[in-house]
Amino acid sequence: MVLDNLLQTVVFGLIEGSVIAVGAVGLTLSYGVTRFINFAYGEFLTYGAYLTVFLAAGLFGSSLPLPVAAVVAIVLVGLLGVAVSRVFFEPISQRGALPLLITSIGVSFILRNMLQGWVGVSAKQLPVPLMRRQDYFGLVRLTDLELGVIVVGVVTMLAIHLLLQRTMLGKRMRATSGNRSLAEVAGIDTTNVVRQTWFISAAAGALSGVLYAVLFSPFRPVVGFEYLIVIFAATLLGGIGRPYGAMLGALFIGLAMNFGSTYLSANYTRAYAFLILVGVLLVRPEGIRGGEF
Amino acid sequence: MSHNRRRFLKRTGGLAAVTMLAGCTGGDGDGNQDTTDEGETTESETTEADSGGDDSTTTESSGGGGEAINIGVPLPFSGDYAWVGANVLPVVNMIAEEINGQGGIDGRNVNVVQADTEASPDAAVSAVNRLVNIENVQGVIGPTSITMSAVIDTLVENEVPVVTPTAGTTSLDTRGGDYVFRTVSSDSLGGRAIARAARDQQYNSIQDYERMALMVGNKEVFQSFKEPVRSSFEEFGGTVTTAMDVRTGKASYTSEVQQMMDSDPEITVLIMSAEDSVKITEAGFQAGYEGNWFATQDQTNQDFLSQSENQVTNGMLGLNAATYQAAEEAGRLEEFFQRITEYAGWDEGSKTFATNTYDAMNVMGLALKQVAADGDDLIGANIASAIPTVAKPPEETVTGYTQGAEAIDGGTDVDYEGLVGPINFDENGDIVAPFSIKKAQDGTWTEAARLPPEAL
Amino acid sequence: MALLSGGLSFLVTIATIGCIYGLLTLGLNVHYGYTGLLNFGHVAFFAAGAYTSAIVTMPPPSTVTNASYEIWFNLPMPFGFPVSLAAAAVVGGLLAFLIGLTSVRLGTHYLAIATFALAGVFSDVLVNEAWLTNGSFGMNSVPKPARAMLSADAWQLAYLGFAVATLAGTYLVLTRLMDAPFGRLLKGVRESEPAAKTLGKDANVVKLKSFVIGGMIAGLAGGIYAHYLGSVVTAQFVPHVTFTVWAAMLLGGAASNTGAVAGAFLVVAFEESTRFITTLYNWIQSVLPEVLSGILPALFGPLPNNPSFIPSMRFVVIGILFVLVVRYRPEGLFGDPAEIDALGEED
Repeated sequence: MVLDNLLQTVVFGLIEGSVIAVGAVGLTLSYGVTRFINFAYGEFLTYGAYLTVFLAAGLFGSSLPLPVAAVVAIVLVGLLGVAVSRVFFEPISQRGALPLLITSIGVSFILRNMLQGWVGVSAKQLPVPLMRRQDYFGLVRLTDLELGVIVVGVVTMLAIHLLLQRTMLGKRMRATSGNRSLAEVAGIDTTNVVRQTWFISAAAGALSGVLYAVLFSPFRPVVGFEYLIVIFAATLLGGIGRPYGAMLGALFIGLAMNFGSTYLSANYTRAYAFLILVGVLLVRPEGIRGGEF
Repeated sequence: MSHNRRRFLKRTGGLAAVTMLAGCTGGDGDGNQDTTDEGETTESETTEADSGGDDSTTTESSGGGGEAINIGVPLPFSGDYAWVGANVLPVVNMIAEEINGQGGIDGRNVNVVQADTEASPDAAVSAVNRLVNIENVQGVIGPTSITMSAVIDTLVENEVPVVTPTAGTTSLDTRGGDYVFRTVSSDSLGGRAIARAARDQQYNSIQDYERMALMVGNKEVFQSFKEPVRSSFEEFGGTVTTAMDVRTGKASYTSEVQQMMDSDPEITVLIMSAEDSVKITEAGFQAGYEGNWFATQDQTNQDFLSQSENQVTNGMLGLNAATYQAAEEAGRLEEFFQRITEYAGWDEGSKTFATNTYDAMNVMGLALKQVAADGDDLIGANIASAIPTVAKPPEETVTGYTQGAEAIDGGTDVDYEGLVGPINFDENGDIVAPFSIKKAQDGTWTEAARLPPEAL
Repeated sequence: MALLSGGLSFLVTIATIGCIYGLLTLGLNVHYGYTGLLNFGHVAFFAAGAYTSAIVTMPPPSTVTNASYEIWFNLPMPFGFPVSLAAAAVVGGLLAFLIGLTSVRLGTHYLAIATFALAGVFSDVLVNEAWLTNGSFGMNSVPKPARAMLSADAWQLAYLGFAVATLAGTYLVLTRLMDAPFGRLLKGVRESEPAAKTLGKDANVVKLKSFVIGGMIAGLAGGIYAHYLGSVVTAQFVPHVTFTVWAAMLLGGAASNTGAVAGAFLVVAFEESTRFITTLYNWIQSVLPEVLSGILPALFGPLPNNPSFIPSMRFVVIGILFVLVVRYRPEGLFGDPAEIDALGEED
């Protein structure tokens, strides 16, 4: 019984860790090439979840099957990310981190409240089937959807790994992240790299939002902004700008939140993420890092 | 035409409604002379979100009868509880029009002023300050339990009579009776009703439940139910396995549900918002919870069931205010449903708080009428003292404003008898009313039993 | 009869709230404007002050409905008032000290997120620890000083007078302080930490002092707020407060105390005025000649008609304000461009 409970908590931690990891990796990738932390990132989660709901419900003409709706939504949010970058961030990209960061707060207000003004504050749900948890190995129980979330999380991490290590884009991203002016001297079109990174980053955010919506329905337009704190925690814990660190950080945060909720008090879920974070930062101000970019 | 337009307005609300209405006003600028359009002017005041500073328009249109009497409606019109405002306001407007159609109060029209409390205490403070200081309201229909404690002092200090159809909070159990009255049962009665209905098969049609868990949201509106349910259930011989305070608005309630299941209850009372209840009942389903659920008024509506899957909610019990049998038998209830669905363009008249509001606004109107008939000043103190009087037996029983106003004009004392009960305020401004226990089956609520006040 | 007629009374309310936000903005300006510390958890200090004032002056729980708080001091009014405000400032400063202790030495981004997050955790504590804060019921019997001696309107005016005086006093003290060597030290840290170090000053200690001063001012604002509304509820202390204060500071001009106060009044006036948008709309519509009366409905007709639309647009405007000020007028209305250049260079 005690062991069962422990294992089950680990599994819940892994499930939520997958959602956080996808978001945290996206956030940290864009930090890598833009050098500022984006407070509007949570809105990509929100837009991902909402667009999926709308596409699946047939708001824009015919209704799409859920997986197709999710993919279309993720691509749209990726494009939204590029547009946001061009309109709001590129014009002031030479002015240092502070103006960019403050602008991102304004952008988050704009995006979130545009959505809220448009659709209202009433809660929405993804049309996913409800199922009972099944036994696996007689030890842990999870639904097919929860299993699916873990699989998507792992596949996304692998894809990001391959992107960074095996593709030209990945190499350019790493070069731009390491030293932008040097990358430019080496003939890399860094503006283009930055845009492509924005696309990937926003799309990852949208995917994270969809996974969140699969697990935790119903949700409201503030969902992304509220979850941003958790994603920030994972990102910082891993050391900002370090994708592998973010993956590791997300796991820690997912586990910490679920262990805290189960064994301490369920009323402080977010706080556990932060106590872990502050604890780590006190010892290692740069986070746990993980591998190099 | 005029009628259709009105119905459309009621349904849309918000800016579009204002837009439409503004268009109408531009279209028939000379319509202010006849009485039908006077009603509509009142409406232009009420449909908009904020009508500050518009008093002058109304005054002009009321045709020399003096300044309008403002009645404030401080309720949530946006946010999670926007449905409360949406259910209450049309009923208030309908009665206001009835009053104005009868010549108003001493020739003065009743004007309804809406104020959005956003279901948040500080917005409510701002909204009520505006009602009291800028709109100079003579009475208030509202607020909800959520914002009651933040604004009650302001209202009482400024001697504004309050008849709330929406605040069941136990914090009013020992307050009120002077300026604050309500036409909704106290949560302490509601809590007792839940305990009684869960304990006795005759009231729930399933079984005598013995072991009960409580999951209570950590907001005033929910907490107010907790003690009454717990102590009554134990008094009726049941065991409360756990009484959990649950954080509202969380993403997931897996841990909470696990903790509830560990205490092994047969039934779990969910005192949470509809949205959080959806999450909790689904988490229970996923985790294989075998017991039943019992919901409060907040979830015992079609909205909740349509957000949930039937396999989760089948057999679930819910508490609702019952209709008053006398009102039902006399056909008054059906009459009201017909009238409000036609007036407001609703698809059903039995929306939560609609009948409570009918009673609240009728009592308010009759109290205004009584003060005017007595020749007293229409000030808060006088209106407040007239409120319990017009609802008290033994004089002539009346069931609506028009009937009551005629009796008052004839010099008779009236006893208002409402749709939710006989409406006799006790010394704390509270009423007693029967409850209805509902059971969910295949996505609809059906009545399982009726709990008369005597059974509590 | 009433001292203040309706509209005026409402203006008095707004002016008082403006003073309270003015104090908050002055506090944040010490952090960001003068020291370059990115504090996104300002609301926590405000809340700490408000709750402190509530706790030291609340009557015993037995006299309050739905009370679950276990600590109260029931200081009598009006003499307890200064004590209550002093306690609010001290606790605001203390919380700033604790948060600062873990965070001021962190880099820009870490600090921004750590303060944002710690404020989130702090608000969780306020909601959950009902023995201290009465949970989400809130403390609704905070006494209003001298309320019993004055009529409702006279009290409103007197309290506004007090709020103005406190704001002016804080403004003067801060202006003196920032012109003094300590102020130059703060700016020194903002512009170049190594340089400050060569002067033998530990940059972290200087930052911590700045953090505590700003926190105390925000705590004081919280105390004034609590005694003004008579009600302290968790729902009042949301991140939106922090960002409203940021908007005020950026609009007025970072590193300018005059700008902070002006920005606060402008932003509060803007937010309150949006409550009257529909009134304005109807008024315009009523004065337009009949031929033109179709124009506005045609313009606004296609907009969504949910009740959240107008409140949401208010925040969209705040967001646009952030973007535009940063891009086109980083020094705000009253700021000094040279000071802003010094702020943007850190990486």
